[in-house]
Amino acid sequence: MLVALMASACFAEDITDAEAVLRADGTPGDPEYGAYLAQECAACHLAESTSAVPSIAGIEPGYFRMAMAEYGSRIRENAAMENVARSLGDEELAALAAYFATNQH
Amino acid sequence: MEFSRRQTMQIAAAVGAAALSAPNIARAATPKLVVVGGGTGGASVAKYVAAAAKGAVDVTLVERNPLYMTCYFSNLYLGDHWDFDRLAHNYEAMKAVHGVNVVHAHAQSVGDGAVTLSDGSTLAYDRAVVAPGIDFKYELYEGFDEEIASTLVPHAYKSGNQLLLLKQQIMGMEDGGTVVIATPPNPYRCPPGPYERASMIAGWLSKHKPASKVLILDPKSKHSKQGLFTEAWNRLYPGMVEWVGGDFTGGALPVVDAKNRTVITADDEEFEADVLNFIPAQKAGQIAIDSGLTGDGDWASVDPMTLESTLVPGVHVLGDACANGDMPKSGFSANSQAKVCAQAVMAAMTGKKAFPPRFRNTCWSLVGDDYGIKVGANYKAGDGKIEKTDGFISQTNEDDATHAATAAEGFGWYEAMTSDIFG
Repeated sequence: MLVALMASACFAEDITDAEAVLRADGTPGDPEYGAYLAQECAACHLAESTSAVPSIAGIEPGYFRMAMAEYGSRIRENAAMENVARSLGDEELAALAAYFATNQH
Repeated sequence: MEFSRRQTMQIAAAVGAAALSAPNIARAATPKLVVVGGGTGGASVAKYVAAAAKGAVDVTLVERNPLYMTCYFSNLYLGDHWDFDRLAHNYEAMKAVHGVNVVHAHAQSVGDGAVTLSDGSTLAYDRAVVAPGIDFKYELYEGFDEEIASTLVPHAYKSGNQLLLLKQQIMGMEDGGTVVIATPPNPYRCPPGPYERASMIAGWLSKHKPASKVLILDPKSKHSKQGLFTEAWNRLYPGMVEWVGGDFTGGALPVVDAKNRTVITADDEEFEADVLNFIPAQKAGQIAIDSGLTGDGDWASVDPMTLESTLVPGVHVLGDACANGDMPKSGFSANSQAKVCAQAVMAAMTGKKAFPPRFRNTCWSLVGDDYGIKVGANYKAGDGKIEKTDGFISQTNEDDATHAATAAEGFGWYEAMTSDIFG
């Protein structure tokens, strides 16, 4: 998993949804914690958006983790999202992915 | 990251203390939360508690006005970048979708399990949230009060009618006139606000009255995003915007001659304006002061884990009215604090699990057509205050595409933020 994430940071390789919901130790993230964390996303992201800030409704867990890794390594450049990515450790990333996997957002 | 033992114990202690201080929780069928103030902080916490509780908490929001006018984006109205009507938001979804009981009334005090309204009636609570925003310290100034601000010299720092008045005055000014913006001392709502305002007014003047000037009189010796604003003014409005800092004003602007639209600095220098926008020093909204939440100071001291008052148990204070540590007073901050507060309230009232608090602020300022700048930071509940962990700011010498992208991002943020609160 760690190898996959590190690779994604450098080469943006796909992370499967099944991998994305796991912490580095292989245990699943906490979707309840993810629901709490996802409240932060709603400050800028609309469910349905035509603005410059894209919708993340229905975002797939694997894509989410790849995007965060890319913001973390500045493959994707946006200072606000890089700031968000810096605030999310392995626990938070797995929790958010687990929450997004519930498709309740 | 696993939650540390210290964090877990802090939350357990905070929630435990909270539960003990809710005297009616054992006998009340449905615990009652009363939120005072339907601005960004108060409305956010009302919505988030109601959404999480699903009927397990009776949520009442007390707000004097039927519509909320955001202060953020009000400067954009001055620059013709945003319609006045689009600053207004209503409480219909709050009531119909989230089941919040919205009471349009003037709350006067909070304490001892009841919110007292101006007609003398009371609303009982098991837990209360007070989010009254700011009031102004008119007592610090000679020749300036609320009546003058409403009629002659608008502060226009709470959106609404004074914003309209300020724009009317600018539109009525002769070309070649000077708009003076007198800024407040720290701490105050929206640190970049007066400088974004100067930018928006300069943008409007450059198109309609290009011989005019904008003069910023500042009691401070430096200001938010200073390098970025200065770069933008030099580039977009050369020679039009002048900033006079605290070294020249003597650090205070104590006298206002409203009739002659003149400001007299602490160093006895007089600055005459054609349009005067005087933004006074600020303090927590009056109800926070009258309810003993601010102690001897201007702002309400809170526990950063829960936003609960350190002085009045069972009452939380958030947004501009609280002493928010390293966070700036902003709508984004108030919304972020509301989410932390909502889970603390839910933990105290229903036993729902609470996670470690996380705070964030991001602030976009529009300085011209397709020209935005931004600043932001992450925060944590520190030792007795909210502490900054890391942050970012736009760079000088950014290219046009980056400025345009930042401006567009700011517009997207406004839509999402107001939807998060009022949708």
